[in-house]
Amino acid sequence: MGSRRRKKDCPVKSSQFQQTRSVKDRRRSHNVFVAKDRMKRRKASIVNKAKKLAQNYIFEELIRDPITGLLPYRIQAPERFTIGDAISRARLLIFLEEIRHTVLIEERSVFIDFSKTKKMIADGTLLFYAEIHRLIQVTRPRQLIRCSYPKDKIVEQVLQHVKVFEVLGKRERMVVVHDTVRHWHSQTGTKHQGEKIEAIRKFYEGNITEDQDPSKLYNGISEAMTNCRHAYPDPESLQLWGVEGDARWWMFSHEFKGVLWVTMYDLGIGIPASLVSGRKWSVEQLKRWLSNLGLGSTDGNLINIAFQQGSSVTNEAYRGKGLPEVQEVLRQHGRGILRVYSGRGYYQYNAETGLVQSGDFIQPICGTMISWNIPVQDQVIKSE
Amino acid sequence: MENTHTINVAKEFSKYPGGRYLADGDCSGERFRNEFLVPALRAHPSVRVNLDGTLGYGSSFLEEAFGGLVREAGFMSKDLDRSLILETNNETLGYTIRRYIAEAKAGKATHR
Repeated sequence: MGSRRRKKDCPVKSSQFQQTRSVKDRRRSHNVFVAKDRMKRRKASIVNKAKKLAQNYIFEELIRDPITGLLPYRIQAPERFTIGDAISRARLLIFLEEIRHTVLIEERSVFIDFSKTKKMIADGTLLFYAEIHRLIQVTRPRQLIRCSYPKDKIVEQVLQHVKVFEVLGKRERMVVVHDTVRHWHSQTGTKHQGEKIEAIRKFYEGNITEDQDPSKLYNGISEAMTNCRHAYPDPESLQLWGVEGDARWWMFSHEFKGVLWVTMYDLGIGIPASLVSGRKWSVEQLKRWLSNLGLGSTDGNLINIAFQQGSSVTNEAYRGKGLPEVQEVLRQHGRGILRVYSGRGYYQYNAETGLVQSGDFIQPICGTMISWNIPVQDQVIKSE
Repeated sequence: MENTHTINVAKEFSKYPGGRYLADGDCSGERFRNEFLVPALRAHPSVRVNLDGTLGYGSSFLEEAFGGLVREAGFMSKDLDRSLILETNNETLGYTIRRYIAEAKAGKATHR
């Protein structure tokens, strides 16, 4: 009985055993699968890390200074490129000062990080472009300034379109289609070049109404161009931190909703210094006298005086027509706004109201920026 | 010798005049005065300058080219009133040039 039972019991026990084994096998094979999967993932992660390291290594080798062997100094570009408001202006000018100092004093390469830049306004962008262009010129053939691609697609289009990427040797990868970007036009030169003014007119052909007098645009830009040339009166004014430059001007034009904006910039001595150039007194003395007379002694006030008196870099009475000429073009037109930045000062003239405003910022800019707009379409004049 | 010599600025000099001195550019007022106005005024009793057809004129160019005739080249403004004929559709332009010539003679400041 007992053996029968045992015999009977045996198959039961055997199946239980087999069942237990198969569960164990399955668990084991599952564990093997999990381990293999973990290994695979770990391997992929190691490969990815290695790839990233290799990419970083290649990137660093690409941007490493071939002469000093040092990696470039990384400088974060500001969020907004403009000199029209105090905070953004201060940030932009500190950023530019950092680039200048690293490149010219430390003679070390810089890598500009545009990842946080979100807004590029013509005045700040032109200032940046001019400074970078001049630094590249004076440090040639060394490529000391490089940059990253911005995260913001519009900012990338602006940098590409106004030739910042071209100057910095960065590959252009965007198609410029954005409405606020594609009508920007950039120019630079060292002399009065009327063909470049014609190029602007041609660039905006179709956007400028045919019966608009082209001389209004031409005369203003022509005088501003001549003025920029005269902003470098002596060889000293052509030097940037002891490095020889040329009497260059930079210009952006921008047509938007029937209004054409022209912004010109030079890295010359600036309006306050030009008022005392060739005279026996200094800017500080002039400011003291103005202050004693109860008049404002700021850079803004000196720009205002330059507009009122038409004073210029020489004492010759027949000169100094550049600034008033641009204002006169707007006054005759009866519309448009003129803005001038030089040193710490700013000056604004509204042709419609005749209102003049001037004042000072804390941080000074190098040279002079003059920016004005004129309506170029009849319907805008009628509708506004 | 013909009585009146004609200079067409746009055709003979440049469609894009601008700048004051030679150093300012190839189409400066100084160059126009030295290469076109002065030789023509010395060779002919009267000179007609056709100013139309250019893109415009900056005041630096005009002052140096025409005011400079009195200041630099030694012409008398009274004589230029007679010998220099300005041909333009833009009345203001003709008036501005005459003012530069007159003020250069008087030697007073021409800036506003």
